[in-house]
Amino acid sequence: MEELEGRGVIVRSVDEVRILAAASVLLIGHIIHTDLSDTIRRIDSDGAECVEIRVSMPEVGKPSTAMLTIAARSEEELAEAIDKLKEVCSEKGIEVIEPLDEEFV
Amino acid sequence: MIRIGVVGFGTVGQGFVELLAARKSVVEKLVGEFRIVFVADSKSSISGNFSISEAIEMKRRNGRLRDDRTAMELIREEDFDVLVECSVTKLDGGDGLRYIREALKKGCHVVTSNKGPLVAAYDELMKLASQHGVELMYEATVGGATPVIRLARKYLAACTIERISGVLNGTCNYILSRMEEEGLPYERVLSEARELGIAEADPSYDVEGIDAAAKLVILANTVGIRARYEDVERKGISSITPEAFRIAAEKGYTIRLIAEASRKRLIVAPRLVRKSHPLSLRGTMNAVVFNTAEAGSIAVAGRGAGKYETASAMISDLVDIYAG
Repeated sequence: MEELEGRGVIVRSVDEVRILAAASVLLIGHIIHTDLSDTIRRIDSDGAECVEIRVSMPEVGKPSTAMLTIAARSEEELAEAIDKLKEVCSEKGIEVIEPLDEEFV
Repeated sequence: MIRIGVVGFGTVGQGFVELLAARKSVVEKLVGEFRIVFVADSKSSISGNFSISEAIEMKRRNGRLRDDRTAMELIREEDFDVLVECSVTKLDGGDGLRYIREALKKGCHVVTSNKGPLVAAYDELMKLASQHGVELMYEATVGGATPVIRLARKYLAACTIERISGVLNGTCNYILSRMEEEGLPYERVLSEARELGIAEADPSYDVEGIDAAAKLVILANTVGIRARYEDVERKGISSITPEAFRIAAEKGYTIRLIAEASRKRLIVAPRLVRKSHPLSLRGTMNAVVFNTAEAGSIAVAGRGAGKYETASAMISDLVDIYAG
């Protein structure tokens, strides 16, 4: 590390675990017509991001369904991202179906 | 001799007296001799010398009982040891709340299937029962025949219950599991549920999560989480689509109406549930999972409603009062 830095290399982070928590959330409503990319952009942050999306649009004019998988560096940041998603979806009239918090153990 | 007064003589009240008569010898071995000393519904009553079969026949034939004395008059004037209260649920407590208050003040035990009084005045009623040295039992209010309340109050008494989650409404669970299995839209399954008598003509009490929220309030208070009905965040099931089930299944999930209580949150809403989870139930079943600090997760499941299912829960309360 010292050798790298001595050669002018800036070490931004080492052994950083980028993703520690992830959850899938289901959205039902006019997801595309209310600007899906805006919805995703607003939940993406330094600590959390949407890593997968699956959308179904059964009929024109009918509600669509999407499953979003959000990954984050910590449980707290995941919870924050889901809260933000709920806020954005509430504005857009989209229903958010959250997962049960944990598996049965 | 245990003297029992019954108030509310619809499906639940009749189920209680029928099952009690059918199981008389077994119950008497546990609690000793008992007798039903009065029965009242909202318009009429019967007391003194009467038989249960006579009361049931009268109600079926005439839609009412023999006398005009009101339930409140009977509670105030008759000598009895236990009030079995099966009035229709009203979330403000309704008449059932007044009957229960009166019986407890008189020093009588109460067994109820009525959610309303417990939702409206849980603390007040439990305090009243304690002040008068009597029991207020309500197993039948949550989970029907499934021993949810007794599990929480008695068998998990040594545990810190951190969270409760449950499928508490059989009608919603039937609709959602049929949508999942058949790929049918909500409206079509709702109409099928109405035809089968699983959903009411006005299904809003079930499908908007009102019934599940009332049960959640009772369950939360039972485990020491102070909860009022208005504290419950509530969403119904009418916006769920067949596509939602299909997409959820790709990730191993189904969708169920889940009631969840913790110190952070009281919520009734459709949730993604892993297909391997105990709350991923089919049909009209109910289930509850208790997450405890000391004993991990404990689940119980069974029939959430029905005439004899509810009656069996009320009789178990009676046995618990007298035989511990």
